[in-house]
Amino acid sequence: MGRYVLRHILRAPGKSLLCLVLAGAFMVGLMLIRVSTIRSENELEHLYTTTTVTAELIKNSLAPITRKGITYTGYVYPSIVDDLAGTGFLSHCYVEAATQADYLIRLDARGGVVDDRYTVGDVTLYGAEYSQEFQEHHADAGGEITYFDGWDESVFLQSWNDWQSEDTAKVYPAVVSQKLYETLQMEEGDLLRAGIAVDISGEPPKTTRVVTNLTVVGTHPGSFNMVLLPMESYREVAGTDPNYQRVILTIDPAKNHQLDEFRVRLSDLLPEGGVVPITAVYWDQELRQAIAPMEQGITLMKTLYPVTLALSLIVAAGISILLSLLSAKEAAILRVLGNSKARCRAILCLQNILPCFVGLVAGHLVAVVMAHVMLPTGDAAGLLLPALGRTGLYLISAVLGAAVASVAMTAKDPLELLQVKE
Amino acid sequence: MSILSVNNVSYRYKKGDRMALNGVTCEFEAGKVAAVVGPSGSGKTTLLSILAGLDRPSAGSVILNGADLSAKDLDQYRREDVSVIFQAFQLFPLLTVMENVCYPMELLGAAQKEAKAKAGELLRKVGIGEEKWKRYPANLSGGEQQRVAIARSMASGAQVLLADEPTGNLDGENSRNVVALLSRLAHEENYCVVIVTHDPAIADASDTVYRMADGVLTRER
Repeated sequence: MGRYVLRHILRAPGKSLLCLVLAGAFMVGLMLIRVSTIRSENELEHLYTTTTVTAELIKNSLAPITRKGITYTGYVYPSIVDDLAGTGFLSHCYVEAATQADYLIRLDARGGVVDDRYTVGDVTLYGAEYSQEFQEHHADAGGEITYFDGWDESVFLQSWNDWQSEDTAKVYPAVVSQKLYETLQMEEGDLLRAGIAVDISGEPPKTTRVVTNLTVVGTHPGSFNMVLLPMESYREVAGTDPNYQRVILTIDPAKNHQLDEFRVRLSDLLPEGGVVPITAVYWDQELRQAIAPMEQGITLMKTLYPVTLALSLIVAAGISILLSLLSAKEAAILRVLGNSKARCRAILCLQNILPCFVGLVAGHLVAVVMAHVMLPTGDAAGLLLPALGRTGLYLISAVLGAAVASVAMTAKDPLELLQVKE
Repeated sequence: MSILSVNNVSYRYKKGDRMALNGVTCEFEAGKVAAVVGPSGSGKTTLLSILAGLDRPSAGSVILNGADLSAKDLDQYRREDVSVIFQAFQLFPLLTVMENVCYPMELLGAAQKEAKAKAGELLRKVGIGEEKWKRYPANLSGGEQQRVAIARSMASGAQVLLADEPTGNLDGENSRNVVALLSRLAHEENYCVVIVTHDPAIADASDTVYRMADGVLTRER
């Protein structure tokens, strides 16, 4: 029987190749779909965990916030930022506040007024925790800050509230523009005094002005009237306008999957988060634009996989049935020559199943190699068992098809099949 | 001497009430050619199917060399005792002439060398030269294919050769050659040849003639 089957397999190359190629192609194709899906999922996960999403809290209205004649720039309560920081969703939070100083006057190192002529008005004092980020957000902030000897960027992260100068007067570090520094003809170690209108009280209203001494720790090449203070110092200096004028929240990329949850949490906090109604603007286009087509692709492949698998099983059974039916006459001759029905069925099945089996083994090997080449070892290893399962299912399907057809073939009267119809 | 006898055989189709064979009785002798003639649908094929061991009668018995076929394994009977020759030759298209003739012997477990030697002998006997042994059936003429089919039918050592319209696909000369070959096998090599045919020439050349009509067989000669 073996010799007979082998001769038929080798001498009907078209039929055998069809079985072999189809089996191999389906195994490789199915593996390709799985590998592509996993690769896309990995890429998607990488995008999720590396793409930075930020949200900025802004006023709903562009109208300035004024109270009793004073314009306030800050409108986001620090408390909302503290609450958000506690949610665990954020990897970073940039806050910035600003207030207006009526004047700046140069003092000497001992705190004495050098000359009234060294006075400028209408200066904005900014508070920030990160000088570099401050400069990124302000087009007029110029280039890098030049720190004086003994000072560096860390000045913005320190607390200066208990710091005192040598003569015990409370002073705070500040970075001023190079132009202002030159205009006031300052030298290293000189101080500045700022006068800030911080409150209005009484009837008729009366402005209270606080005076703060600043020590210049560096200069920036930006706008003339821009003075930058560490946020901790600013809070002390600004008094009654401690609210933030700019809040940019950076969501921890590891939490990007839970972005919707974060949106809900934030939207719950927003109504109580500002002096005026505020809203959150999300800068997540990069994530959405990259992820949406990938997610569509993954969904498509996840749909395509079971469809292709089902199709492969139908084709396996269908081809087996079809090729077995084409062998009806051969089955009849085998029967007439004295083969039992069981032996005929075995011959018909083996003729179709053996090439299919070879194709499956070859396809399986190619698929496994492909998985190992295209995927990390862990992912590839996870695909081996399902691949084996698919191979088994295909084989079972082909065997079932061949068995059903061969049973049908051998049930017919051989003479009916072999006689010339009159 | 009778080698194959049919005793009061009836056959009723599994579906329907019609009797395909109705009390058929006949005897086929070794060394003689018997022809079974009759119109289409008269029951000739059913009788052939029962004689070939492809079906069992509903009633009656078929006796081969004194043994009732009802007690015999029909697969083994077809392998060893009886062979069928068809109008359309029915050779395996993917096996060569030699392999086709060897197949019945391989089925009986003969060694390949031994089978080839005997197949060569049979092919020579039916007039197929050695140059054609490695050819596939499609590369032979109809007459040659039928002679290969006859050689295959003798390969198993069966003494009963059943032929179903063996000349139906052949021209006049090839028909005559095939009939002559079958007669020679019967008369010279003691085969029992039973031919189911429409061809009056075959009936004329046969030693015994049976006529089948509506499932009833009568001996004409």
